[in-house]
Amino acid sequence: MKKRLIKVVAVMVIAFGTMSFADGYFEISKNIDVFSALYKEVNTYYVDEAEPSKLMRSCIDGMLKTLDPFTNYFSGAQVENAKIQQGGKFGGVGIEIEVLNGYPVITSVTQGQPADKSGLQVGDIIKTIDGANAKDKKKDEVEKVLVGQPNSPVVLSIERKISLVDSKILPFSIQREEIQETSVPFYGMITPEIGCIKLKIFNEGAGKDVKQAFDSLKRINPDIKGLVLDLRGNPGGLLNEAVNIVNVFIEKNKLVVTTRGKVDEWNNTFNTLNEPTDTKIPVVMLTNSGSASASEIVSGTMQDYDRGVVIGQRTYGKGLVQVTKPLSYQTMLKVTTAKYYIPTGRCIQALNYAEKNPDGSVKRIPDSLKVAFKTIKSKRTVYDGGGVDPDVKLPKPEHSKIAETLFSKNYIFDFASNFKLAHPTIDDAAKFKLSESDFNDFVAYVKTKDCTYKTVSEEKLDDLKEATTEEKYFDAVKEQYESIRKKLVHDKEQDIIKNKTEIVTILENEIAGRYYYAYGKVKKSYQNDPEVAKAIELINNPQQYEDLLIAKK
Amino acid sequence: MRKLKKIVVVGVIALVVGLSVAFTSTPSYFEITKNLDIFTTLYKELNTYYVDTLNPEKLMQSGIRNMLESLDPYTDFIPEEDMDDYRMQTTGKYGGIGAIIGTRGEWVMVTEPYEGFPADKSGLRAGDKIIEVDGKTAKNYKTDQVSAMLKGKPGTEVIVKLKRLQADGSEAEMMVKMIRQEIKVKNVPYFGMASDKIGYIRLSGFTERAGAEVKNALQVLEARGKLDGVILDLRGNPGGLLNEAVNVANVFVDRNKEIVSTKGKMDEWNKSFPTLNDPVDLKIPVVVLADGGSASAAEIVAGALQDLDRAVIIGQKTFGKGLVQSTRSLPFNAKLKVTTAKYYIPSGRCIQAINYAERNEDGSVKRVPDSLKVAFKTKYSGRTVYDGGGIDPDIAREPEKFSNIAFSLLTKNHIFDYATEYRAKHDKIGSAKAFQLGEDGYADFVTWVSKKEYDYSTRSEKVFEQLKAAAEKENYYEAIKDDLEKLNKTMMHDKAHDLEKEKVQIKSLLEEEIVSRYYLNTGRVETSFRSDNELKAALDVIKDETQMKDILAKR
Repeated sequence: MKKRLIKVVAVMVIAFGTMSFADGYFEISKNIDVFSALYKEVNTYYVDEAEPSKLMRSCIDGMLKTLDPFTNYFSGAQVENAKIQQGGKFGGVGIEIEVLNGYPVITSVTQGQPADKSGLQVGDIIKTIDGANAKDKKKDEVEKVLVGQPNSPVVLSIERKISLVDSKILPFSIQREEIQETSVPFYGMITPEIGCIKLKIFNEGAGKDVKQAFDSLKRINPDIKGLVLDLRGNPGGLLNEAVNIVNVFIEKNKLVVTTRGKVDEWNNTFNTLNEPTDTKIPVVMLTNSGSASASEIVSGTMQDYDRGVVIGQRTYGKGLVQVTKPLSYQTMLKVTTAKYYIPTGRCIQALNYAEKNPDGSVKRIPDSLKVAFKTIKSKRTVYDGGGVDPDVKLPKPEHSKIAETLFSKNYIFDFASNFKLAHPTIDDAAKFKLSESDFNDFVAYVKTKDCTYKTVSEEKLDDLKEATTEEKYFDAVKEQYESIRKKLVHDKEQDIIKNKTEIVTILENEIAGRYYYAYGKVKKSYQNDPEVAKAIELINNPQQYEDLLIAKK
Repeated sequence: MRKLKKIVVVGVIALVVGLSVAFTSTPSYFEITKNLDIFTTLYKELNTYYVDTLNPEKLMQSGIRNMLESLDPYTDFIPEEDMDDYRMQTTGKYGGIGAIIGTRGEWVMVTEPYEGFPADKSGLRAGDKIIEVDGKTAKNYKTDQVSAMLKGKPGTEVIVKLKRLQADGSEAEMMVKMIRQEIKVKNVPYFGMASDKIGYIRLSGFTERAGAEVKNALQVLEARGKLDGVILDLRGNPGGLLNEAVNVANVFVDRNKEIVSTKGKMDEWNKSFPTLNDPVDLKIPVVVLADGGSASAAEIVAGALQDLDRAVIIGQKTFGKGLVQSTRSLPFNAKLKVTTAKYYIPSGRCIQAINYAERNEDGSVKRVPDSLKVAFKTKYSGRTVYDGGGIDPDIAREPEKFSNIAFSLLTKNHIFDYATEYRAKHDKIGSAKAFQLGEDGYADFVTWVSKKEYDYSTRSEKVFEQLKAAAEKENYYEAIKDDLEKLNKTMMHDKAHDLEKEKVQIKSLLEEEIVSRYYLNTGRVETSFRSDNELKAALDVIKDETQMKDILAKR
């Protein structure tokens, strides 16, 4: 412990020079002195029994809250959990669950993993785990007991529907295996000549996974014309994996990202290290506001080198790098130590946590302070200070209120379960279509269900009634209120029919997933995806694609 | 000085106790050391490695604040630089000119000079703009910056350049030289007669000498002639020193009666606080005015007088703060104010309303539910009173609310500015109790304010805008457009109409502000008597001897 401190001190002396170092050090020890005294006094004298760990936690949280949301403290117990998650390796059975009607229900089964091999299915209700009743358990409690040492067994008792009215209880004994979360849940040809890779997360090996996926796509069709790289909703992960992925498309020894912190000595440069797979093939990246961090390094670097076209929505804007530092008693600090800069020299961080608004809220970097940069090859203008701007902007997909309701009330999920019972097999995921009579079945099925929802307009009208009643205007406006109320009433059957295309798409995706796992679900969803359609259109029109990569006069 | 000594004494006792805690309960001692060790490494790592240069002190303070907030709102850290303010809050003393100031646009303005202090004696008025202090411009300075320039050692000189509005609308510049004085903010800012034979004492704080000031006020009033009763106004009084609460109660209660006792985590810290002096008057009928802003020491006085069946309480339920804090010294001249005990009034009840130790799942605090409130009996009459939520008045009155328009006129300073102009145009007015704005006067204000910028929106109007936006987004707007327009017209407020509707309230606000420009706080209080319904209720009860007795009678 002591040794490390001395080392830190030595670095600081070099960095700041003796004077400022001495000042800073005095400030720090002075504050620690004041705090130690205060902490002991509070624990001793406070009127109620104080809990030292809880108090300390709120102190640390209070400090970190003033910095940025990525600087976090982990208690001993949290570190244990994080250890399991961070490596991406732990013993599990390979399912995802949600709690529905008091019991955990399997919502996803990973192909080839223990649960799948034992025959567990989406829709199965977990009644007991190792003999313990699973009723009213929270999602994370269930997840916790499902993981364990690889090769250890877990016994589940499952309730499975065998017809629309009957179900039976089945016992399963499943051997846990080491589970590595897959970074590429889907790759495949979405047209005969266009491949697609969906990248979910940047965990260890993500670069290798993308490279392998691309290689096999090239084997399927050596004349492949273009590649779609789907980074939507990808929250990022390991920085060097971002470098590896860029490296698939960009030659060796090119700068990808630079990190810069408070002290020059800690700055770091990351270059591509390997031979690329293909530096010519057209690449279209799909991004949205959920594409963060490493996703932004990939899309931003490809944009900066004019190596691909970015379409969709502006990315999240996280340009900060964290390092984890072990503290005493097995606790840990994840701390933002640097900002990263992509090849043009821009930093895409959108929020300036160092300067806050007077009300304490965080400031977005205003457009007027954004700096223009020129891309490496084509000298196109790109900006810092707010994520990666797509070259082709598409509107954010939004769901209708009725679709949201059907989804959140699990009617889509339950209908898919029933569908699977009635149809043991379906066509290939991409070819599967919900028939007209199936859709009518769905409408009939929902008719019997509670499907009430309030539009925002209805909610606001309720608020207005409350406010006018309180302020004694209600009697005066009652007539108009009633009239508006009547006009806002909606009819769920009408709503479903009005939004038929959208609802059919959601149903088809869910059903495809029941037969062909996550892979089938993604594959099916790409068929009705306007962003994927745009990507295909671009690759099929080389001129249009090239134009986007040329500076506009 | 007496206060300082006491802190030291408490400190020694605490230290002894603290040591025994440390050695007897080893696990918690280990927990504390362990957590401090974690904290120290984290704090150093953070300051060293964080991407931006951090301010170690600010960082630490935000941690401390968050930690102490998790306990209760009264446990607080006072860094060295805030000690002056803190001392001023507990003693009511500072060196300065004795005026309240406030920011108005680019200048700071005098908003109220204290009676009898340098600002008042040198003729400073509310509405005077402070242009320079000792030759340094005060333009665009904030209130606390100007306040710091004006404060200083008693006996030193300060020269202030002012701009004052004239009758013709121009502004005159003037230089005023003042000698700073020790300003002691009074706990009793006003006492006098509320009617022919009923006295009135307003107590607005509990700093040192609060008891002596109330005692003096009652003695002076009684020396003027026989009183039928006295009203002690504790509305908005946030409390202060516990022993001053005892001294205030002592004015009406005999020597050697327990007013309050404190109980903490350990028996050693439990303490009883009896009255120590001879009372001023044990017989005079007393009415205490209280409201939701009456807290802590104010609740001890109100509660003790209720529990001892000595006074009738009128107004609203009090705040419900039953926690006691002690001030503890930290290194580098910082201080910790920490809740060490709960206090209990004579019936044995604790009036703390919020249980900070148990929180709701979302971290929000819990009020003590009615079902868990315990009944207690008052000392002599055996009346039923409850713990767990402030002092319930014997006669409850709805709190007076500002109308939307009055609130807007106040916060946009139109009431204040009109009074400033009025003062510039009228050299004197009649007596405070007699002053009336009159119909013409109010009409003049209505004309004046019609040219001013002010707006207020009702909650209905705000929600209306949201409904309109939602309907537009969800494609219902066209269908309901006509209804919406009609609805909006009906709801729309009309300033002229509201000025007439809320005339009584706005007029009394204007009268109070104007009178304060001639007779300072005394005038303000006396003018407020006229529109004070709770005060009227107090007068009625005192005048009705049987009702007064009935309320306090044995059950």
